[in-house]
Amino acid sequence: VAAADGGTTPRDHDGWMWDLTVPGNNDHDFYVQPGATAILVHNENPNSGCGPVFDGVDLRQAAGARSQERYGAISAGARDHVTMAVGTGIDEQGALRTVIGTSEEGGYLRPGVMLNDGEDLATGFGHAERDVLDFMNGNSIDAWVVGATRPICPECAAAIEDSGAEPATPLRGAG
Amino acid sequence: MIGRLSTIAPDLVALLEQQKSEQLRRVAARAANLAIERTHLSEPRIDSALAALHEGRLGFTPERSAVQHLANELDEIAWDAQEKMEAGIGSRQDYSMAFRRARAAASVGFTLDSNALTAAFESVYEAQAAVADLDAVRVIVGSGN
Repeated sequence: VAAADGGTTPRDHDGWMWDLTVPGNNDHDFYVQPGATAILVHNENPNSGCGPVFDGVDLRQAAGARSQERYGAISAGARDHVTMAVGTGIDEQGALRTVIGTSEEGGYLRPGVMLNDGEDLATGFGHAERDVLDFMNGNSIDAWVVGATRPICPECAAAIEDSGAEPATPLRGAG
Repeated sequence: MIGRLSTIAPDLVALLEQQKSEQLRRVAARAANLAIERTHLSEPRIDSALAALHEGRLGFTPERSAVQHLANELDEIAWDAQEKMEAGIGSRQDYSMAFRRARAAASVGFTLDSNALTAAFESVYEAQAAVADLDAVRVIVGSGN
């Protein structure tokens, strides 16, 4: 999937142009076939609730769902104290990577918490979201989305924005 | 799925999987003892749990329940220290020590698991979190053979 080349700035062109109407229930994923190979197009609209798409997967939704799974894996007594973060991004080989972080020392995982095959664990000392971003930065992974099991604090929200990623779960104080 | 110990030391998982039940029990007990020594954790519930382990009273025993309660209490202390640290009114050292003591208590609790392999995996994992010294834990796992 290629990155969209702009799209918000009207351009002047000579020749035929078409207005496209995509049928469906507010669909914004569709294929166009300019040649032999069909290309999946994803129109990302900040107001639509969808996130960046990689290989047909809405990464914001995926990170949000994985964060929810992490929340469910933490024992009830610890949920109000422990934050786990899930970051997804693309590495230098173009592969999708998922990084898990925790607010506890040394990347400590609570009993019963497991990682999926292929997931990386970010170890650090502090906020899980920033540990995830640090890990991704240190391993040349371009961060796309970061979610967490608890509302994302303003400092982590700023770090996510600075990295060029977007939050996959609610921010603290957001209505 | 990747278990907790595999996230930090998959080689130890492989090593433990080859050990017999009595070796696993020995490793779990040594790891827990290392954790309580290094964190200077002294508490009657720890002593009772270790006595139960020595006498072979495993599973969901009162001693195990009591030491798990102790771990929960120590976790609460650690989280309180973490909040103070983040608010700028507490030190990282205070949080770290409280966290490690909670992990040491959890390590003791897991030694009483009725499954020897689970007891070893979980006690060793908690112990390495308590001592932050994976090499020392490696020595203990290696000594099980």
